[in-house]
Amino acid sequence: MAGCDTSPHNALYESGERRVLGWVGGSAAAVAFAALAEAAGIAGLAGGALAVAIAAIAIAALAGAVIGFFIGLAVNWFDRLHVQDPSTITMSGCILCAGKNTGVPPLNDNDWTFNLGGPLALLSPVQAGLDVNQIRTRSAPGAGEVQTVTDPKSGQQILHCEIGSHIGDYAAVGAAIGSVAGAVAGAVAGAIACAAIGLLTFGIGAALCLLVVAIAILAGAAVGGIAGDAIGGVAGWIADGVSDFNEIGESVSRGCLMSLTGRWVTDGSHGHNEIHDVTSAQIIECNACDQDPTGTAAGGLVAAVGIGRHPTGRDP
Amino acid sequence: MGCCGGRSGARVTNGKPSGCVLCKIWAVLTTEKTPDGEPCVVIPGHIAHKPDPCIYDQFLLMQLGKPVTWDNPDVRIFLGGVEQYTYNLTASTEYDVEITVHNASREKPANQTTVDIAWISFGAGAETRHPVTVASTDVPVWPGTSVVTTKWRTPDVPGHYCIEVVLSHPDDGNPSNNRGWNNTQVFAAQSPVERELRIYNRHPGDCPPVREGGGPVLRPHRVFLGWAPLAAVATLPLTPHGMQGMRYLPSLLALMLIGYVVGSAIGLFAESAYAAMARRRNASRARTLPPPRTDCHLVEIAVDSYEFEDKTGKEFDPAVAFKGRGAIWGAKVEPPSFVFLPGEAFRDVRLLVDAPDDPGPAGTFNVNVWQGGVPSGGATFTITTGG
Repeated sequence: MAGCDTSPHNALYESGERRVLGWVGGSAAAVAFAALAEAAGIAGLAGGALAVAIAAIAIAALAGAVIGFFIGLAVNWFDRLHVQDPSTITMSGCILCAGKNTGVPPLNDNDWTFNLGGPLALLSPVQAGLDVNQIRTRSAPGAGEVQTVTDPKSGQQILHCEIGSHIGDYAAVGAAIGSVAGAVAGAVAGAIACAAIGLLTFGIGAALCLLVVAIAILAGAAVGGIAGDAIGGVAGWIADGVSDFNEIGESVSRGCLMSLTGRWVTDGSHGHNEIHDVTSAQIIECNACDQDPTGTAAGGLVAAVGIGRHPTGRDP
Repeated sequence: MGCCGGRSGARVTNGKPSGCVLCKIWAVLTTEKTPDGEPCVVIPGHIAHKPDPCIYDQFLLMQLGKPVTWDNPDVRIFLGGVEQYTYNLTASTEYDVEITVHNASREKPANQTTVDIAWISFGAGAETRHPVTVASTDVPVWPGTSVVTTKWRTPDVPGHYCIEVVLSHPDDGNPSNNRGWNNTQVFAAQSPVERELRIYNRHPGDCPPVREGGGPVLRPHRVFLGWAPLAAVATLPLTPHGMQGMRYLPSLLALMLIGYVVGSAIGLFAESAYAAMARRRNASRARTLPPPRTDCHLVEIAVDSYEFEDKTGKEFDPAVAFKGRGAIWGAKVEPPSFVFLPGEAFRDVRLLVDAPDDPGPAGTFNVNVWQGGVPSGGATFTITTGG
């Protein structure tokens, strides 16, 4: 991972990990309860049959945890960003960190990430009471507490900004669909296997059947989830390429002065405000603005480009 | 600075890692990571390269803490070829209005940029726009510009005017540089002089409500795409009992459907309860920790004698062009700040200038107004001396 981190990280109320764990636990309990109910209906459950049934319940719980992980991940993925009012802002500042969160989803969402700091300025909208401090601290409608964050290396106050990649979105959806479809397919396959080997009787036979079905659900959910994640990730990678087809990318690094326009949100997973997605990223100049202690020169350049007297981008 | 240098570095060709697919994967896997991100990251071209139609925008400049003139270099009004000040325009007279539109992008022309020209009352903070015209223009890439001209017949009733220009473009790379004012007055005077400037209240009622926090409202997708599918899947271990030949699949689907419905009901209840608790918790926090926010009725006024020298490219040195200049001749505004009373529509403030009695060069005074901590408008006065 080479995405830009913030400090503090996930120190607040509803970190993504904790919220996904809630789904994992809940789902494990639900599926285990269903398996328990199924086992309770088996006649002559004692001794070895009871042990098999207990194993089946445990594996069913594990299967539920896997499904809950993928579904919870998808639900929280599309639920973590709380949109502010106004929804679109333009900020200018110095890039203190630039990175792409490259890697395998869901561990990496493949977003382009930036820590915007230095002479941080709100360019638009011009709205009474709305200033840089508000941009960094106001809690979006529907969101909880917001913490201010700094760039871990420089210690400067920042606004975190991200350009969303399709990879994270598609992988989350693919994994959820894949895990559910895989679980259903596993249950069907397990039941067919039971029928084929004649386990639908009572006692240890029924308990074994429950175990087979539970194992099949677990395998189906895991394989389906991973396969869906992979397929979604590849589809997202292609979508990223298609959306930028025939365009030439622009390299950005620490020290580039930029103005970024995009959706102002509170990220519930991290508990801080950010621009996500950045819809327009203008390079004002890459002039080591992170070395400018006053930010005066940077502000002048932003103004000069803003009124069209200087062009965007690096000087050729 | 360790970056791959624009768009033609060693690792990057045409903005993307060069070579075969496996090479790209290898490059991704082996790129050296740094604590502060990557030495260089290539962002998508469609995000980085957009047209950016723009104009001399005083509101942007004031947001950046830069001095401004309200004698907008990109807005000019002519009568018979002679440039006019906006304050003293004659009623029922046709003027030529000329707008220069710039494009800060070196790569993308700003075709079909909409140029919305209107007049508003002279002063600061006026928001009632009276349309002059709406034009469309194609602005070439920087340093090209496009000049939009239009005829404007002033109203029959005498008045004092400010010209406002608002640009718009569907793919604008920077929407914060699209609003320019031309708000000027010239008069001859001898010491001392006094002029009134009307400050309009942008928020004559209460301050606009700020929508923030409060806790989640019910989010249906969590119910119908989270709770419900989970409950449907949770029924899977129950299905073996229903399996009897071809009836297995229908019974499986029926059971899952029941699970989906039950899951929806439980989810609706649980999510509603969670939302209510979160709202209460956040409301309690908001009461104890009110966020610091500038009062929207607070007006602050400053006066200076800054003059903008219009140049382009290398000729335009931001350090020189935006160097502030304090008010000459001992000018001040009375009062320099105040708070609008409830329901107050406007308030007149006075520009007091101790102009010299002797003939000499004219003096320029920009009166800049902020309301609620953000730019509200302003006017530029030019005072000639010596009769």
